[in-house]
Amino acid sequence: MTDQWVSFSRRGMADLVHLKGEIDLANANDIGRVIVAHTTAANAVLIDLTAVSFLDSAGVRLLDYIVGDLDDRGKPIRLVVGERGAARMTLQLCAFRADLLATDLERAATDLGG
Amino acid sequence: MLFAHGYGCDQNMWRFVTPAFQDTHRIVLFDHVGNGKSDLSAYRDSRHGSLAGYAEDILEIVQENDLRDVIFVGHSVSAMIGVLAAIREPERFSGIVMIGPSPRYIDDEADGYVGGFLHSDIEQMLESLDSNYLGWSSAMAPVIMGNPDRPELGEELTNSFCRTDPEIARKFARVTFLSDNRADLPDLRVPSLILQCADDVIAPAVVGDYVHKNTQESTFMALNATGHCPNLSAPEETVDAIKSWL
Amino acid sequence: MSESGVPDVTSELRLPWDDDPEDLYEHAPCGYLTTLPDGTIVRVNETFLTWTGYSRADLIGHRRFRDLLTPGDQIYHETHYAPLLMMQGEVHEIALEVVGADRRRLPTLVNSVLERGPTGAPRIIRTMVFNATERRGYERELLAARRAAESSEQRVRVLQQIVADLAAAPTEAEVAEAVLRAPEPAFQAASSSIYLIDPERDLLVAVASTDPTTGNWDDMPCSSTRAVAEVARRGDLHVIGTLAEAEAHFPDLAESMRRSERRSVVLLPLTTGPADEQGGVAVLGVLAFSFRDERTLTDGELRVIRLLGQQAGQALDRARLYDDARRREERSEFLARTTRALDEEHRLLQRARRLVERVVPEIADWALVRLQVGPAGLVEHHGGPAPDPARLGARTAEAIETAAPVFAIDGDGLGCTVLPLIVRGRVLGTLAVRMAPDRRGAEAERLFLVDLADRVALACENARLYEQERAIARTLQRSLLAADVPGADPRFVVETHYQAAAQDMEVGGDWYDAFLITANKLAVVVGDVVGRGIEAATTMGQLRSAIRALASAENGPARLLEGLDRFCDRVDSARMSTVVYAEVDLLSSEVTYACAGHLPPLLHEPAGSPQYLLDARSAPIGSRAGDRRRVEHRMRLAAGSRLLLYTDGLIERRTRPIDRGFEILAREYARLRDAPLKGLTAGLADTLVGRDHSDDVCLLCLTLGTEERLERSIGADPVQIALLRADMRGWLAGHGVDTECLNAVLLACSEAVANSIEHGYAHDPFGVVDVAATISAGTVEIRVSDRGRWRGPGNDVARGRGLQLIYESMDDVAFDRAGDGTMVIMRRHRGEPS
Repeated sequence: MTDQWVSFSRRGMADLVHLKGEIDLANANDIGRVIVAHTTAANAVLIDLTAVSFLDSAGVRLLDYIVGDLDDRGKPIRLVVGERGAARMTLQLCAFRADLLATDLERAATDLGG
Repeated sequence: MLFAHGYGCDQNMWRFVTPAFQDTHRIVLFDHVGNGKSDLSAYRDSRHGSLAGYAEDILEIVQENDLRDVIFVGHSVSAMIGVLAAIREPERFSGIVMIGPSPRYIDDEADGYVGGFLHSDIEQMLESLDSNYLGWSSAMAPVIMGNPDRPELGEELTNSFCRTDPEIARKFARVTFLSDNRADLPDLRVPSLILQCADDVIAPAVVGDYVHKNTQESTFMALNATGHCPNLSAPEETVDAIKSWL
Repeated sequence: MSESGVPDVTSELRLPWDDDPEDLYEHAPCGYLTTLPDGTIVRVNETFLTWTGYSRADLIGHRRFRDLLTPGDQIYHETHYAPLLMMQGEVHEIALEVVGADRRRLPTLVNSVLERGPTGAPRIIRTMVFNATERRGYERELLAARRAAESSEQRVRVLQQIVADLAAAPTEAEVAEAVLRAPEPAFQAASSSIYLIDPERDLLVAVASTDPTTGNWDDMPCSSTRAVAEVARRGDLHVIGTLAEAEAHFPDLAESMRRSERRSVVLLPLTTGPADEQGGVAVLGVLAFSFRDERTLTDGELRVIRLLGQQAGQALDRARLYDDARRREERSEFLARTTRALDEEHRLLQRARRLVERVVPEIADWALVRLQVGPAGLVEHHGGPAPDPARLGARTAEAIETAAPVFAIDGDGLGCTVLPLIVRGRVLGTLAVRMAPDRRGAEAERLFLVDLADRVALACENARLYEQERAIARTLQRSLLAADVPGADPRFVVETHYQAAAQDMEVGGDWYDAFLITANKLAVVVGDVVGRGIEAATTMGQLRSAIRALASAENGPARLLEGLDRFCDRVDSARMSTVVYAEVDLLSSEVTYACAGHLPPLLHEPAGSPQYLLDARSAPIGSRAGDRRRVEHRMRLAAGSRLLLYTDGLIERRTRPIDRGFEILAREYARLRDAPLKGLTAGLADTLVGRDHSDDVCLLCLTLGTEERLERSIGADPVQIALLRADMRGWLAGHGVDTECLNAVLLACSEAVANSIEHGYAHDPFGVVDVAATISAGTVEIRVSDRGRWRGPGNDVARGRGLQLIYESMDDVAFDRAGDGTMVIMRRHRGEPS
C-alpha cells in the first residue's frame, strides 16, 4: 500500500527511510505505521525527505511522532531535506529543530555513526 | 342400537332380538368383514390382525352414520370389540351390552386366570373349521365367486346363514381366541351390561364374573338360557334383560 | 312277474322293509340322538352307544350332545352349529368329533333338525350322526394335500414375484434387495442376510439384512474360515438343521445362532448356474436365512431354494454387467461434461478450480490439482479431509518421477490416487483424488482416471498457453499505453485512462496516444483495432507507430488518415480500425481534428455545456465500402477547454440505444466540470462503465490553456486533496507563479481543505469542499469554503499546526463564518516574475 511513498535500507549504523512523492492527510498515517514498524529496533534513523514533493501538517505530525519516540529511547535521528523544496519549506515553517535537519545524506550518516 | 354378531355368524343372529327394539331405537346391523354379506376386499391382514382393527371398523360405522348415544350390543368376541371401540371414543357410546363376553379364552397358568380353554383346544377347533369348510367352500364357490345369472343359488344352499370366507374365518378365529384384552377392561368408562348364560362353554360363568369385577359401572345378569347364544336360544329373556337394564 | 315263470321267493320271507321300527331305530347304520333345545340328550340309539362305548344311563338326562365333543369342536358347536340350527331349523353335514367313553375320537358327520312346538318355541332336536372315520381320513389327506398345495402355491407365488423383481432389478443393490426378501414369505424364515463377493478386493461384503442385529453380519475376506465364506468357496447349498450341526461344522455360525436364538440356518450360494455343472459356475454371493425353530426342508423346498440361488446369481451377474456398463457410461458422460465445463473457463486458475469442484463430490471426496507453472506453482483443492501431506507428497513425487499414475491401494494409509498430467511428454503437474473404497471393477476405474488425467492435462496446457498469450498481449498493450504522455507544459494537460474488460476477456485493441509533433504542436489520438488478443495488441502497436511516423508539421489529420489507409495495404489487420486524431497548435489554441469511423470527441468549453464534435467524419481506416475522402475540421478553443476522446466501450451498451449513451456521457462530463482534471477520466469510466464490463475502455482528456479562474469542488475525502493539488499546481505554473510561492500556496490550500474535511465534515462523509483560485499580476487568492460545523481553534495541537502553516505560508488569511459554513480567504503576494 505504501510502497510508492516509503522504502527502507541501511546506512552504517543507521536505518535509512526513503520517502518520496506527496505526503498528506490521505497517506501520512499509513506511512507512519510502516516506518514505526521498521524502526522499533533501530539504533539510529535517517529519514530522507529529499524526494518528497509535498508535505502537509499531517506529514509533520508523523515526523514529530517518530522523532519524539526515538528521542525518548535515546536514539539519534536526522531528517535529510534538500537545500530547497516542499519538505524543507514545511518543516521550516513548523520550526523544526535545526539539529534534526540535514542537507546532506552522507554527512548525516557520519554524524549518527560517530 | 348397534348390534355386532359374534364369531362364526352374521347379523342374522339378531333377528329374534331386534324387533323388540325397533320402535324405541334406531337399529344398525352389520357383518364383520369376511362374514355374511360383507365386502371381502375390505379385509386387511394388518388391520384385522387384532381386535383393535375390528374396533376401528365399528368406529367407522359410527362415524360414517354419525351415530350418537350408541347402545352397542356385542355378542361373544364382539363384546370385547365394542369395549375397545368405546374406550377409543367414549363420547359416542352410552352403553355396552356384552353377551357372553370373554377377555381371554385361554387359561393363563401364570396368574391363575381361567378362560376355559387350552391352546391345543383352539388349534383343534381350527382343524374342525377346516373340515367343515372343505365341503362347504366347494359348494359355496359359485356364490363367493359371484354368479349373477344364478342368484337363487345362494338361497338354495344349506347352511346358507353365517357364511364366512374360510380364509378370513381362520384368521378371525385366531384373533378371537388368542387375544388377551384383560388389561383393557378397566379403561372402559361407558356403562355396561354383562349377560351371562348358564352352562356356556365358550364364556363360562367365571369369565363373566371376571369381566364384571374388572369393568367399572358394569351390571351383571345371569340368564337362565344355556349355551353361548341366548339371542337365538332364548331371545325373549335376552330382550327382557337388555330392556330392564336400559 | 308270474308270467316269467320264476317263483316269487320273497313271498315266503318277511319283507326286508318290514322291519320292526324300534329295531330299525336302534340298529340303523347311523347314530340317532334326540335332545332338548339345550342339548340334553333324551334319547339315543344303540348304534351311537356302540360307536362311543357309552351306556344309555351315562347319557340320557345327564349329558348334552355338546359335552361329547372334543373341546375344539365344542367351540365350533357353540359358535357355528348351535346358532345355525336355531336360525335355520336344521343343519347338514357338520363335521364333528365325538369323544368316546374310552377317550377315542370318532369322526362324524352330523345332521340335525330342530322341531318347534305349537308356539314356535324350540321343542326338541333330532340329530343323526354318521360315522365318518374313513371319509374324514380321506378328507384330512385332501386337506393336507390342499394345505401343501397352498403353501407350495404361495411359495411359488413368492418366488415368481422374486423372479419378476430380479428381472426388473437393474442394479446389484436392487437384486440383493429382491433376493433378501424371498426367504420369509417363501419358507417362513425369521430373517435373512445377503453377502456379495467383491473379487477386486477379495471380500465378502455384507450388503443387506432384514435384521442386521442377528449374527455376525459384517464384511469378511473370501478366505475367512467363517461359515459364509466357506459356503461361498464350496459353492453348494448348506442346510444347518440344528445348533448341534452348527457346533460341529461352523463354530462361528453356532455362536451367532445362539445369540440370535436361531435353530436352523440355510446358507445358499448365489451362482450363475447349477452347482453340478463342472466349471463355468461362479459364486457371486451368499444368501443366509434362518429359522427360530428347527426346520426340516423337504426335497421340493430344497429344489426351490437351489433354484432361487441360481436365479439370484444370474440376476446378479446381469446386474453387474449393467452396473459396469452404466458406470462406463456415467464416466464417459462425466468426462464429456467436465471437458465442456473446463472449456467454459479460459484462465488456468479458474479451470483448475472448476476441475476439482467437478471431481468432488461426483467421483471423489477430496481432490487436488497441482500445476508446475510460475515460480510458486498453482494448487487448487476441494473436499476433505485433506490426506496426510507427507505421504501425499511422496506419492506425488513418485508420479512425477515416473510420469505414471500411482493408484490407491486398500490399506495404503492414504487412499489417494495421484495422476501425472502429461502433455507432449512433459509433466505439467498432478491430479490427486481420493475415491470411495467401494470401487468394483477397479481396472475400468483406472482406465477412466487415466482418461480423465489426459483431458485435464490438455485443458490445463491450453489454459496455460492462453495465459501466456494473454500475459504477452497485456504486457505489450501496457507498454504501449504507458509510454510517456507529454506533461509539465503549462499550456496543456493530458489525462488518460485505460480500463481492461472486467470479465475474463482477451486484451482488446483500444489505445490512446499523445505526443508533441513539434515544440508547439501536440497530437492526441484514440483508436480501436478490430479483434482481440495478441494480434490486436500487435496491430495496435503498429498503427500507433504509423501515426507517430505520419504525423508532421505539414500533414494535418486528413493527410494522416490517408497515410493510414495506405498502411492497411501492408498491414491488413489494421483494416477497419477506427481513429480519432487531433492536432493542437499550442500557440494559437487551434485544434484540427479528423474522425475515421470513430465516435465523435466531446468538447467542454469554460462557458456553456459539452458539445460533440460532429464534423470531419469519414470511414474507418482502410474501409472499402465507406467514404474514404478524408476531411478535417479546424476550430479555436477557449483557454480552459477540455476535449475528451474515448472508445465505444465507454458508452455502448447492448441494452440501450447509442444516443442514450451519448446523452449520459455529456451529462456526466458536465457534472464533472469542476472536478480536478486529475482523476477525471478514471472517474468517468467508473461512473459510466463500472467494474463489471465486458469491453475495454480508453479515454483521453486534453485540457488546453490555463483557466483565468480555477474552480474546483471535491468530496470530503483526503485522497482528493492530492488531485486538487495536481490541478492547482498546473494552474499556478500555467500562470507563471514562481516555485516558492507555488509551494506555499499549495501547502496553505491543502491545509485549508484538510481542515474542512477533518473538522468541518468530521461527521459528513458526503460533504463538498469548494475551492476557487484567482490570480492577478501581484496576488494569488484562494478561497476554500465548506458548509460544515466550525469549531474554532481549540486545544487540538494537530489542527493548530495546520492553521499555523496557513498563517505562515500566506500573507493574508481571513475566516468568514457568516453563512452556514466556513470560508477561508487566503492571499499571497507573488514574487517578482522570474
